[in-house]
Amino acid sequence: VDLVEKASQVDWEGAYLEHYDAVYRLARVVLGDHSEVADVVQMTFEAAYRSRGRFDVGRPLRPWLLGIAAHKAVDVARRRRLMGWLRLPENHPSSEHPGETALERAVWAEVAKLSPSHRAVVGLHWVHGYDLVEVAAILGVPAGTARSRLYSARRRLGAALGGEEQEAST
Amino acid sequence: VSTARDRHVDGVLRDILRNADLARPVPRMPEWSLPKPEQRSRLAMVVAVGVPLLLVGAVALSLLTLSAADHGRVSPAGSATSSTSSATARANPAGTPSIQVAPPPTFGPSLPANPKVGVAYPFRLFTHCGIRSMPVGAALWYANPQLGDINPPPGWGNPFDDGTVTFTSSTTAVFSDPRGNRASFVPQIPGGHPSAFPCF
Repeated sequence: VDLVEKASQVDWEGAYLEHYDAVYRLARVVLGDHSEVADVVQMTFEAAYRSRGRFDVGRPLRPWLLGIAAHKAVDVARRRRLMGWLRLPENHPSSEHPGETALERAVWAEVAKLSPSHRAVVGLHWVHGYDLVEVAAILGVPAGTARSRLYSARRRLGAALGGEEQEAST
Repeated sequence: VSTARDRHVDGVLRDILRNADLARPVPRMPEWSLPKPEQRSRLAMVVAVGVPLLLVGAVALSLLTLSAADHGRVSPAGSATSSTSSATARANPAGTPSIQVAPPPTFGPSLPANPKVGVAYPFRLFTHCGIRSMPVGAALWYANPQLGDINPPPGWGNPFDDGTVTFTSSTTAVFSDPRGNRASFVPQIPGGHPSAFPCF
C-alpha cells in the first residue's frame, strides 16, 4: 500500500514526456522500422502505469521502463517472426536516411539479423549506454546470459564493421 | 577482458547506434493517464456526496415500496352503520384513499374495526414523524389537521404518545392524552394532507 501510495505520487505525464524518446529508441532497435514500435511504446507506458504499485520510487524510472519496453518489444518481434509476415532486414531504421554511410547501413543491417533478445541487449548497451550488469538487471536475466548475448552481438556487428572498414580503406 | 579491437568496435557501434535518427515526436498522453489532482479532488467530492445520497435514496425507495405493498394488503372493505349513540363508527369508509400512506406501528392496544361512538379506547399513538394517521381495525384514519412536520409538536410523546381515542361520530375520532394534547382523525385523507414519506 505504501509503494502504491508513493508510486501514485510519480508525475506520470512528466515521466511520459521525459522517457518517451528513450523507450522509443529501444523499441525501434528491437523491432526495426515498423509501425508496431509506437504501439510497443504505448504498451510500455500503460503497463508501467498499471503496475506502478510494484515500482520502487527510490529507484530510477528509466531502467524500469526500458525493462518493460524490452520485454514487450521482444514479444512482438518474436510473434511477428513466428508468423512470418514481415522480414526485419528490409526495415532497419537507416533505410529512411539516404545520407547514411555504407558503414552505418551495414551495422543496421546486421542488427536486424540478430534475434530480438540480442537486439534488446544492443539497444540497452550501445544506444542507452548501460553496462553488462545493468543490462542483465534491466532484462531480468543472469549476468552470464547478458554477457553471452553482448559478446555474440559484438562479434557479429564487429565482423560487419570490419568488412566495411576494410572496404573503406581500400 | 575486452581487447583493443572490442573497444574499437564498441566505440564505433556506440557512435552509429546512438546517433542514429530514431526520434519521433512525442504523441499525446494516452487514455490511461492519471487524472490530474483537481480532477481527482472533484471525483472524490462527487463520490463523497453522491454515494451517500444514492444509498439514502435506495433505502427510502425500498421503504416506500414495502409500505405501499403492506398498505395494499390491508385495503379496507367499507361498512357504514347508523349514527345513533349506540351505532358504531365507520372504520372503513367508502372511497378508499388514492394516496397510499404507510400505517404507523402500533405497540399497544389496537382500535376495533367497529368502535362504538362515545367510548374512550386506550391507545398508543405513533407520533415520531408527526401526528399523521392511526390504524382503526384494518383501515387508516388520518389526522385532521396533521400535527407536526416530521416530528411531533412540542409536548407530545415521541415516538409514541399514550392516551385514549374517542369516536365522536362515525367519521370523527379524537385522540387525547393526560397532558391535554388532542388530535382529530377522519377516515378519509383530508385535503392538503401530505402524501406518504419515509419515516425513520
